[in-house]
Amino acid sequence: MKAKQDFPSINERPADGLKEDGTPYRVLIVDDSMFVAKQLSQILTSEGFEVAGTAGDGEEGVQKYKELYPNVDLVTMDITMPKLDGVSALEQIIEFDRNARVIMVSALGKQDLVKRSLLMGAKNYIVKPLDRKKVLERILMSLK
Amino acid sequence: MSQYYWGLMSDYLDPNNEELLQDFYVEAEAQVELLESSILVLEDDSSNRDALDEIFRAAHTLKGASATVQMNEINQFTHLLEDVLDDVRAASSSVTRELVDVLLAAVDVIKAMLEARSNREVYENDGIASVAGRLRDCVAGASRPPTEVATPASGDEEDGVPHRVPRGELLEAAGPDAGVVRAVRVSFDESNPMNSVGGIQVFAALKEIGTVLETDPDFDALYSDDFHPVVTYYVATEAEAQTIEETITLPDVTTGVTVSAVADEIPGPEGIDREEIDREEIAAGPEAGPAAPSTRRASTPSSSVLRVDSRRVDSLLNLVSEAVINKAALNQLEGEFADALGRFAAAEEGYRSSLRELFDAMPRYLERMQHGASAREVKREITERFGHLYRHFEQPGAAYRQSVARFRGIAQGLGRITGELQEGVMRIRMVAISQIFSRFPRLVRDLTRSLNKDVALRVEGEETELDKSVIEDLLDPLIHCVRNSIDHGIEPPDERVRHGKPETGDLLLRASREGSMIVIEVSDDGRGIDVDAVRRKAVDRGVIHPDKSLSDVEAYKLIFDPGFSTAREVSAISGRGVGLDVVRRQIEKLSGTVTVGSGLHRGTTFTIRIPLTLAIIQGLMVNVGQEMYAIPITSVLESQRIRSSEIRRLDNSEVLNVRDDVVSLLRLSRIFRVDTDEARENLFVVIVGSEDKKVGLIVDSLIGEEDVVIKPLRDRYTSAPGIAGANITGDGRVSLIIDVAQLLALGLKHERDVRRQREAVIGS
Repeated sequence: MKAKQDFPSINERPADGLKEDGTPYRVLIVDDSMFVAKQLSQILTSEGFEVAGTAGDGEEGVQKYKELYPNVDLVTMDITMPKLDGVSALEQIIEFDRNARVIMVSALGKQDLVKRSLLMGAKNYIVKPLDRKKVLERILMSLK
Repeated sequence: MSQYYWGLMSDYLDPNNEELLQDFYVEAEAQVELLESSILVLEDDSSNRDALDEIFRAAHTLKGASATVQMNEINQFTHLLEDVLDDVRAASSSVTRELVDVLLAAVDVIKAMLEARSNREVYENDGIASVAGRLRDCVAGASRPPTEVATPASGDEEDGVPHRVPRGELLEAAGPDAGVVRAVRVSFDESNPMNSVGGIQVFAALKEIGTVLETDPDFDALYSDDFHPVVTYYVATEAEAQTIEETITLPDVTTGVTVSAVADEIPGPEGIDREEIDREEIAAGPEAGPAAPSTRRASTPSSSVLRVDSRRVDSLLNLVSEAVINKAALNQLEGEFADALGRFAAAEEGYRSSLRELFDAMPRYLERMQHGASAREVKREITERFGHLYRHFEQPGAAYRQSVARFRGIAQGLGRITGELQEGVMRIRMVAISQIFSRFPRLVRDLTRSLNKDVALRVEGEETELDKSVIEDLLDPLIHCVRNSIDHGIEPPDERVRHGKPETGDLLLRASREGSMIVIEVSDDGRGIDVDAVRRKAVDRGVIHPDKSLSDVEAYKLIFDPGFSTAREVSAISGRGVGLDVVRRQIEKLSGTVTVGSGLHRGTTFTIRIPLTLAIIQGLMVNVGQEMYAIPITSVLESQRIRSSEIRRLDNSEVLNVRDDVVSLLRLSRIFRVDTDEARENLFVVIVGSEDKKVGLIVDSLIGEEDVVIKPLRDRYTSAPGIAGANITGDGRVSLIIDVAQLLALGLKHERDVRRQREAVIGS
């Protein structure tokens, strides 16, 4: 139809954030920076992901994960946060759900913590400042 | 096509993305505030780990955020700051006074950078370099290089033949069911911003599909911060070579993977791995992005962003839904009223026809009476036939009354809802005064340092809320008062000891709410106001006559006079005696008052009272001729009904004796040129102002109190003196709101003339 010819670019490719059955992946964003959280959710929702929840610190993050479970497919976890840092939050989430898919969000210079998280079971990591393409790439890689 | 797609979408991370930028400023401001307050906590208690963590986190967050919006100067600077803090955390540097000074100076630099950025400029100042230098000096003592990110770690260059591990050993380690041991040779992308993580990332990935027996270089080396271009993992796994390859082929991280059985000769055509390294450029490394063009698009400063507790919005939503329900009820009621009207019409119709029948029947009845029927009999007949006329309107009347009762209920509900809505919307604009109180610890610290005084600041009632627009205009006057207290009030430590006071001066900043007013006190325990000094000065300046006896209260008021300062020297801090005058003016602009109380050597208290909000006030509605005016109730002292004969004339002006006082009168009709009957016998006088200066406004009649929503009059035709704005009343009329301060100025001029007259009369 005409509309489709006019705007082919967006409609032809299925959005990355959808599962095979067409429902969106649900993501929990844990970040003490409202700014980063917003960026992440902008990136994710633009690709059809559903932001199932956001949490401002590790403690809230773990709690939210438990509340949402099993209706959550992925967690993005900031490393430096008040109350409970991201690595400890990751530990608690993995303890609760061995198959939890957690992606760490870290600034440069926190290599040691990223390594610890990966060994603990984090699926991948994203480096701040966020890059749209990389964020999506790494998140999708962990989901498939 | 896909290019178009990406081009469109990458706007999300465009450093000029308005929404993100605004969020960035909001957050950056909060982080800077956090930095500052935590640094001050640290200064008092150098062992406070929590404060240190807080500082570190704030700096870290700032660093990350500024990189995202490509504010490189902030990013680099905060990075340096973070390094220093890291050392402090690792206890390789201790918290010294110098360190606190450097940190605070750094915070100032960040503030300036942010400020410049919000004006679409990049802050450039020699101050940066000097502060950066001092920061670097702080790190210099430590072993870590100051900028770790800029220089990629030099990896193990010899990526030739990995040493061979005896096959038997490995299999033994793997256990009987481990599958095949494979050597997985992985080369890594050095341009990855976190290139030292790759080794572990692959390790973690391999762990998922098998058992990693051994790595080369060994695990500890992988865990270190060095980059290893090539790592060989020995894995016991049942997975196929292809699966392994897929698992650990990570974009940006690995550039090549080869899987081989351990027994095989380790393959190693290095060329393959290396060619791909520069395959992809890192898009968002800290140094990669070009400086954001500073001349594009206006960036909105963050001050216009209001963060509101979601509960407040929820309650508003509740109210709105109630209002909607009410509206539905009103619609329904409209139907009922129409119904009632119809029934009335029908009843009227029946009534009329019955009446007509009655009139028609009259002659017949008369005739029958003439023929000898008794009056009683005829009356009974008439009652029987037409008695229903009495009850004709009963039914529609009852229904109507019912509707009216319902209407009354709905109107009441609507009144309550709008009242609550008004309050709720006002509360959305309310912010805690801590927003400005939080600036004072730093201010007090800097002041006391520069004046060599010792002052402890106490803050109370910081959760008190007031209108955002008010709070912004409150900062300057408060700073003036605090400066005044520290500079003029609190004595140097030695003087304090001489007077038997503790060395540390006490400064209290307190906010509280009194009805619809907010009271803010700034009190110190300093030397107080020296009434004699004030007096001498006033006489010197010719403000008062040498013979005038001056009460304490009058003396305190003098310090708010323009050009009055009792400090012997002019200091850079509290300025040249313009301070308190400015304070008074600014507070009066907010429809507030400022008073001062003091005891010699006991201290001084400034008390600022301002209304909660400026958008809605309580007004006393008055009539002048055909016009209606609103006088802010906060400035109304009293109102009186007088006869025109009570007005006295002093020279050319009218005055009124109110108890022992003489109040000069202003006729609003003359000021605003409104036609009115000036000769009328009964008048009303509304006395406005404060106890020491007041003026009586003559009006025709008082209407009553009403909530007045101020609509400012902004165009140039309506800037009449004495008018603060306009208001639309319940019946749709416009009333003008009177600016009492301006009228007072008019009246005072009047009064001075009067007094001069009177003194002349007494003198003669």
